[in-house]
Amino acid sequence: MELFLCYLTNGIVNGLIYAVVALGFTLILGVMQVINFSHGLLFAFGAYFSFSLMKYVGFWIALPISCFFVGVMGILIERLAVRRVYGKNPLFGLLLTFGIAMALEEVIRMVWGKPGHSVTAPDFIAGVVNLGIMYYSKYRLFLAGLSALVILLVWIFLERTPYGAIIKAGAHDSEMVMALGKNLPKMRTLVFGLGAALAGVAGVIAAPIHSIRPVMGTYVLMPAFVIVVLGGIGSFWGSIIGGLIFGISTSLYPGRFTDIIPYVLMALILLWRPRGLMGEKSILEV
Amino acid sequence: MNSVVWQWCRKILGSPMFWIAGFFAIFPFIPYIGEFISMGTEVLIWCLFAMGFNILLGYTGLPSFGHGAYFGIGAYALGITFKHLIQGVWIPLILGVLVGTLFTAGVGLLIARKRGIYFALLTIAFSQMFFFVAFRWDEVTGGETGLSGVDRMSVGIPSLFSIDLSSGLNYYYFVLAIFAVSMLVIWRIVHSPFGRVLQAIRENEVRTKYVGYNTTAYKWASFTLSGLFASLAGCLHVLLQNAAFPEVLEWTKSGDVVMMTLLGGGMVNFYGSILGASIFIIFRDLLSSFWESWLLLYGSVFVIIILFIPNGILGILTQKKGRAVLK
Amino acid sequence: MAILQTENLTKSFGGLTAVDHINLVVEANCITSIIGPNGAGKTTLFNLITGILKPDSGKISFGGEDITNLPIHKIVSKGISRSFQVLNLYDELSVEENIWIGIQAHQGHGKELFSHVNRLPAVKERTYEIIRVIGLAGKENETVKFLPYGERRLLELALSLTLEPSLLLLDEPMSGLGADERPRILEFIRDLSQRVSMILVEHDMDAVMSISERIAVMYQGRLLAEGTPEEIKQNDEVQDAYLGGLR
Repeated sequence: MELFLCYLTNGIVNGLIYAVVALGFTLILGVMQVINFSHGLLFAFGAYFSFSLMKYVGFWIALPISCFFVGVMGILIERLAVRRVYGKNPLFGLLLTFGIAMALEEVIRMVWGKPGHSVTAPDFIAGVVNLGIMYYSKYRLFLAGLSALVILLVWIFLERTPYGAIIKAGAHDSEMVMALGKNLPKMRTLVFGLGAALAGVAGVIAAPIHSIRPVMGTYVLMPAFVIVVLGGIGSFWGSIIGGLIFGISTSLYPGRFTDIIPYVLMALILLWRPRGLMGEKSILEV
Repeated sequence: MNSVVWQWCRKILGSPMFWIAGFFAIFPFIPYIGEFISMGTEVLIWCLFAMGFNILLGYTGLPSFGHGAYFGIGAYALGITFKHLIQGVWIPLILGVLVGTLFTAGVGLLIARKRGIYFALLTIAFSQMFFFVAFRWDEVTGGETGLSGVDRMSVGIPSLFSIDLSSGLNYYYFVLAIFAVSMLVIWRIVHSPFGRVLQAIRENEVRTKYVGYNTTAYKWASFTLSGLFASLAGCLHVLLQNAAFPEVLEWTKSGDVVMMTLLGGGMVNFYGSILGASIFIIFRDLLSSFWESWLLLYGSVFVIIILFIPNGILGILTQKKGRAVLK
Repeated sequence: MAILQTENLTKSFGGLTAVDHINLVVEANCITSIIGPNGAGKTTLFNLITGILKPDSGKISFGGEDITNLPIHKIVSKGISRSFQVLNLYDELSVEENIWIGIQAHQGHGKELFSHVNRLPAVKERTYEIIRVIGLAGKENETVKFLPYGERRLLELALSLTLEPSLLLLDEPMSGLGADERPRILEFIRDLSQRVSMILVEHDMDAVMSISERIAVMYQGRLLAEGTPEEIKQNDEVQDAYLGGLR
């Protein structure tokens, strides 16, 4: 029982981190119709930046700075490359970001070296806490809280600010946004930067749980895909629910086949609800 | 009578297919480069894969980013048949292609209604599922270490003749024969009324429904056909390497085949995928043997091609015709 | 004799009922026009009849056969064809290839994987015949997107006709055309009505009144009135709701 609760809690913590990654991914996908293969690498860069910065400035300063740097990387990627393939065959955007991801992964190897590094959690949240029914790592709980906070901030941004309203409208009808006189290219850059920053913040958060490695970006990318398909493209709550499903289903029964469970779930959900759990019928499907 | 023969000769000589097959036939005898038989075989295999994939991408306009999976499933099915069921060449090969095609057909049923980005997303997700199965199911697939010892045996007719495929040169010609036949078959498919329907779907799916075609069924058929050639290529690849590794199922393989098709100009010309696959494999092999950080350049080349020559090499050459549409 | 009949056909989008319990009877061998202000539900009705939208409730029968909920290609194969208000052609292909696809479909080719397209003389012959009929002979190899708008309008009509339908649904076949080009299309439609039953949605009231045998008036998703052009002109309700609004 205690073990089960521990697994469940692990699952929720992982799920929340996955949800933050998937949120950025689905934002870019929903607004720009670009499958961003470099999203995982942005996550990895978040982790590596924080690894290097934390030695000098500590966690609380490393977090926003890493996040900002990754956001700037996202903006650069959008400005220099991705914006040229909007509206074209989706494979173009996909291959473009795929190439960027491959090159960036090599950059990580060149800068930080091939072997992994371990990132120590900040002191103030080291150790365990007694939850009454079990002892649990303080840092993981802190991560869960931080992820939930980020999710909440994104929700407030999308639902309670005028910018959010424009982004949501843009996801449905880019012509309408243009007609309203809004600056669509600028909005797209902003969304790409925001999506990248979300990947970055997830990378910073996740770094101390796992050791950081050059391939970590690749490993986090596939969950993002499955979560978005599970939850429905461009859906905020779909990403959260999909993220939790992914996190929990891969944590409950550690074993050889855990990696496969989310994919099987995905196939089953597709059979039953072709557009994902929270997805709305859109122009993306027939 | 003579004029009929003459016409046939002209037709054959006028077809790039003849020259492509001819070039590969004399390739082993070309000084210096002819020594790289194994690389030549790999080029042929990838050409076959890319050509079949182009039925889906170039002709039907469906962006799959998960065809590495069907390449890999064919490969594993052949390996497993060989290790556990029956040794030989033809039966494992046929079973490998059959299993690969069946898997493609099954996934196709789930995703044929989709198009565009949603289609791409689903193909990736499914390919990753198959990758994990191959990676984890040690008992059957050998897990991380893969299946090894898939030897090439002899083909032939008992007591008449026999060709030992374990020789690299013999295997090269075996693959070339399959490649040439497949090229002809694919050429016929894309120039058939069926191929016309696929192109109509690419250009305007809604209208194609309104002239009375069940476009979902055609998209499924296109997906399945491309899966058939992908698994055939996968089978030949296992025999080349004498082993199947989980890497053959990885999505980077799917990315490679898309890139090959685009690079050569598969979107605008039937022969683009062959050109692209050849250049791609040679470039990759050379680069990776000379430079440790070759992936940096490799990734950058992807970016450059997509941004600056999206219609591929043959696309540049045929651009003056004004429209980039396959025939 | 009725060729097409809808019974209590209903379709809502969110809170808006675009098509509200429509009972429409379309007679064979004549032109029935559907008129009504923008947003009256005419195009939605077309989309329901041709199967791209599924009705919430109600029934559609064609030639006595229930065709509700059939997929588009099945409905087409029963003999219903449509043209589109917004041109819906194969823009990147040539005139010949556009018509070819329709003819090839009508003659039942498409499942053949290994015959060559050049070996279908019957398809080719019919394709060229249709191109001649619509007056585009000599432009067979031109890419459609480079054709003048009026000729693309004709092609849109011709592509619907390649299927030799028994019922043709025309969604604003003259939309976007200048006054000088309208008579050409109108004449073409009038010729056609000798052979094919038609449902026409059109805003050009003079054209509608001169060409139609029956007129149905839609307003806010409902069928307001139905009758001959004379009856419709005299109908007070129609005058108030629609025709009056124009003046």
